[in-house]
Amino acid sequence: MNPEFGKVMHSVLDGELSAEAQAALNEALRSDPAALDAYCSQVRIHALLAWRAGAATANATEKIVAFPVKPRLLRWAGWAAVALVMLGAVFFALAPSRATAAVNRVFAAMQRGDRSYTISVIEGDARMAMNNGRTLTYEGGVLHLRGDRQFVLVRPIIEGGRRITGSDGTVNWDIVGDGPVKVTSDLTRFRGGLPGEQQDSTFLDLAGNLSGLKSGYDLVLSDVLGEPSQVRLYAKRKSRDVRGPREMDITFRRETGVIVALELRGLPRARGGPEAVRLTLNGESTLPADYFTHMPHHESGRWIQDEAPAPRGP
Amino acid sequence: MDNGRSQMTPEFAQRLASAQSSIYAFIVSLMGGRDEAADVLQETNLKLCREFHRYDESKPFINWALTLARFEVMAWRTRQSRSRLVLDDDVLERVASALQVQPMEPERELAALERCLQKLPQSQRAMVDERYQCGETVRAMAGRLGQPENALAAMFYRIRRALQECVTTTLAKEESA
Repeated sequence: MNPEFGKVMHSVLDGELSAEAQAALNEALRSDPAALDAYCSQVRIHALLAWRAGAATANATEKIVAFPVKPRLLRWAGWAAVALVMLGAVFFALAPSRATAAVNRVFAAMQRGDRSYTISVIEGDARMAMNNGRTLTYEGGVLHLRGDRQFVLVRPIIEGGRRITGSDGTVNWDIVGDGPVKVTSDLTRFRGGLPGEQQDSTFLDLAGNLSGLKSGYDLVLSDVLGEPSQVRLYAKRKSRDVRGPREMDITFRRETGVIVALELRGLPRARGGPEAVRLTLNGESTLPADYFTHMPHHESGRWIQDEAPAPRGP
Repeated sequence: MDNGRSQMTPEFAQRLASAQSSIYAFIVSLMGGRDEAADVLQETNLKLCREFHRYDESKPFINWALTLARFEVMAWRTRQSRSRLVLDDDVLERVASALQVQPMEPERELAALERCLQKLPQSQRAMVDERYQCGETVRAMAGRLGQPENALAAMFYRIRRALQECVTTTLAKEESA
């Protein structure tokens, strides 16, 4: 078998087959039994891996279940309606749906590289009162993310200055204006300022709450009109018992899974703040290694106030 | 031939559900990896449901299903321009014939594939996950890893071949046990 056959197979399976490669493929399959064997086994394993990842399941079954009943089909439509719903349930049990596979893709992308998003308020009050009488605003805030544990959230203070909250994955910290740097090893502290975080939103803990998003939300995957390189994943909370935003609308790059826009709607507002926000990707450059610690965000010599984790009850 | 049944049975539904991965793989092979394979699978499923009363229960379901899938692929081809067809007509017949003589046991095959994936080195298993679970193309992966695309494509070729050999061996061992 021609050693170039591997390259041709790659072109076939990645959908980038040139006219020359296509002619070479057909000639090899016509004349070389070894090439025919290799093609059959390569495509078969490729298809089974894609099937295992949910590439076709939902697509095929969603359409079956939604099959239109026309008059000429009435003679079999009665049983078909019942049977196809049953089939749908069976098919869904065989492999994860495309929407679930999309969630996996988005989360995998979160593990790679740094991302920066600007925050804009779509609905509700952008402002939020702080304990010291000053007022924060989410509008114009910036959220930097590294992996699924590290973040830096910068929000303007209306009276002047900024509040910077972050986590390097082991220490959470909070800096208000020129006040002390509060640090804690309790990774649940200082997260209430993040949109949706008051109720353990899935945004920062996307990977950690993977099962929550998959089981607690109805997921719908669709194309983005005019943007063939992007895919939209719409997630709606199944019930009030599920914690987190009521709806999430995630637009991500088809090839890499990188989120380019995220809308969170129905945010908990126990202390005021926005009801819906949009985060828009504005940077993917690699930030300094220590960027998610508090050090680069204040001058040296600032008072560091270590807050021990609150004692837990008996 | 008519099996005399007026209603699709749960057994038929189960057979159809179990055969999905094999029908899908068959369609992808005949279409040369085209993305529309899921649409043709859907058309095939509808055809199988409509024609269920013609299925001879004394014969393997998968053979009957693949025959109908082959017709659906041919119907799809008639709707496409020639430039969109990867395989020539005579080559498609060769591929279909080669695939249809292979014994297919979809559920056992998928289970074997799962076990074989666990035997891959961790780095290769991660690459398979990136490519298939996360949907990253080889080109995008090569760019991200800073590796030549051809080298990565060759690696995937070897991984798929190793998986195929492992699946075949695993199934053979199960049968002889």
